[in-house]
Amino acid sequence: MALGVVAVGIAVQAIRPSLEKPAGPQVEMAVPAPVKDILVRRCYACHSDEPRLSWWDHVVPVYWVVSSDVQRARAALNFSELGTKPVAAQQAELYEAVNQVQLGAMPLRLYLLGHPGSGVTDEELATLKNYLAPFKPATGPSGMAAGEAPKSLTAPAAPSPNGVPFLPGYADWKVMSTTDRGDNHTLRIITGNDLAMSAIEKHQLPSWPEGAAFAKITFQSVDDGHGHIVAGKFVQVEFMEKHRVQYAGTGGWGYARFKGAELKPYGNGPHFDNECLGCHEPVRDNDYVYTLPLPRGSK
Amino acid sequence: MRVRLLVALMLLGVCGCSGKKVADADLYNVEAAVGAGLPYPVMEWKAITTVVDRGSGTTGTLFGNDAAVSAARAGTAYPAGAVLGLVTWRQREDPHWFGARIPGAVVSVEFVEVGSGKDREFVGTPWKEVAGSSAGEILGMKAAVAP
Ligand code: HEC
Repeated sequence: MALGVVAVGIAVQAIRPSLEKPAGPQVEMAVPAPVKDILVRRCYACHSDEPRLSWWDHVVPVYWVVSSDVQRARAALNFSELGTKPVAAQQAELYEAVNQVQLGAMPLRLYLLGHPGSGVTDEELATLKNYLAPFKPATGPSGMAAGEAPKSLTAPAAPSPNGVPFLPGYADWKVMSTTDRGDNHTLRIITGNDLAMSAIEKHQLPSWPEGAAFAKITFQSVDDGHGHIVAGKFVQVEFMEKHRVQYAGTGGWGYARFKGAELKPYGNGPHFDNECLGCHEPVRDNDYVYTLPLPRGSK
Repeated sequence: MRVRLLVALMLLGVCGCSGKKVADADLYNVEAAVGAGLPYPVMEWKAITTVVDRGSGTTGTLFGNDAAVSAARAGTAYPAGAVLGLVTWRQREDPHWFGARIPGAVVSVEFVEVGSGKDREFVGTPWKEVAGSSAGEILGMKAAVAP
């Protein structure tokens, strides 16, 4: 009996999904050596084509968990291939990585349990942030002329690929907040529908009510070269709409993005919203909402 | 019996902790609150645009009453009765996103009344009215127009 268990235990070791280098082009992001060192030390173990596994990671069934984690990690972000993307996209990935670390979402808690001491130190995080330096230089001419009114278009040609609807009238909703994004040179106005506003007023957060919805309206930052920045061309509008049952698969929120003056629905296939969910995951304690709304109904 | 009660209490404690309590300041932008007592309900109005001044480290959102918003979005002259309200905040780093800045403490709220030509600015807590200084700038701001 015991011998049988051992035999099965050994036999099963042969079932090993491969973590070989994929055939795709291998181009890393061009970053200074100290930054690269941190990425290699802290991220490459999972997020690269050169996974570094400890001996115990190689033992089935641990190996099964680890290899599936590495495969998912690579699909989300693969530093060995990041260099093939446009520079702006590379930067955006690095910002997302830094923010996931800052919010304690990366490395995964389970990974840290199995690999103590492998977390990103404060000093390493500071090095990454200093490299990214979102608001440096503080000013410089940028963006296109402001105030270009999109024509009479009021609805996109098609819904979002996941079926989440476009919500007309979003620009007339009340303001939740604004953000100045140095990482991608945009200004955003975040509005909320009446259900969202009344939840803020009644101090119900983080339990947003059924039907609450937000719109994040993004404009290019236009800098006159002296640090006076105004909202320029419309970039996109994104929605989150709360329906616990209907959107149970994405944390109770339906996500949609419509791009450009023609409001082109964003995303390939019905599960494109995993991308939205993945980046909103670190703020799940706030019900996946990043924005800190301006208080309402206060004294 | 007493042991069972103890266990029940402990379980309750565990459950209570798993639904993590989020601090107020991590749910609302408490420090950016626009205090009550202004002559117009500026935060109930629609937004016309948002601006940033790197020199002073401030961000402003221009609001307007319905007459002002329609004119601004259409790009036509403001009619008499239009009122614009510019709320200016000191910027602060977004605690949730490295790379973003969000409103911090309020610096001022300035109202420009088209027709009467009044320009009233409010600063401090509680609000103190001072002579407005940016009417020209406020009237010249273009709407951020979304489809
Ligand atoms: C790389 C990270 C990232 C991804 C990917 C992402 N978001 Fe967000 N989202 C943010 C951040 C950060 C904010 C806070 C506002 C800001 O600064 O832009 C935000 C805010 C929002 C808001 C306003 C409500 C809130 O949570 O604050 C909406 C609506 C939204 N996102 C929709 C989407 C949709 C739809 C997608 C997918 C198509 C998406 N987001 C993908 C990071 C992300």
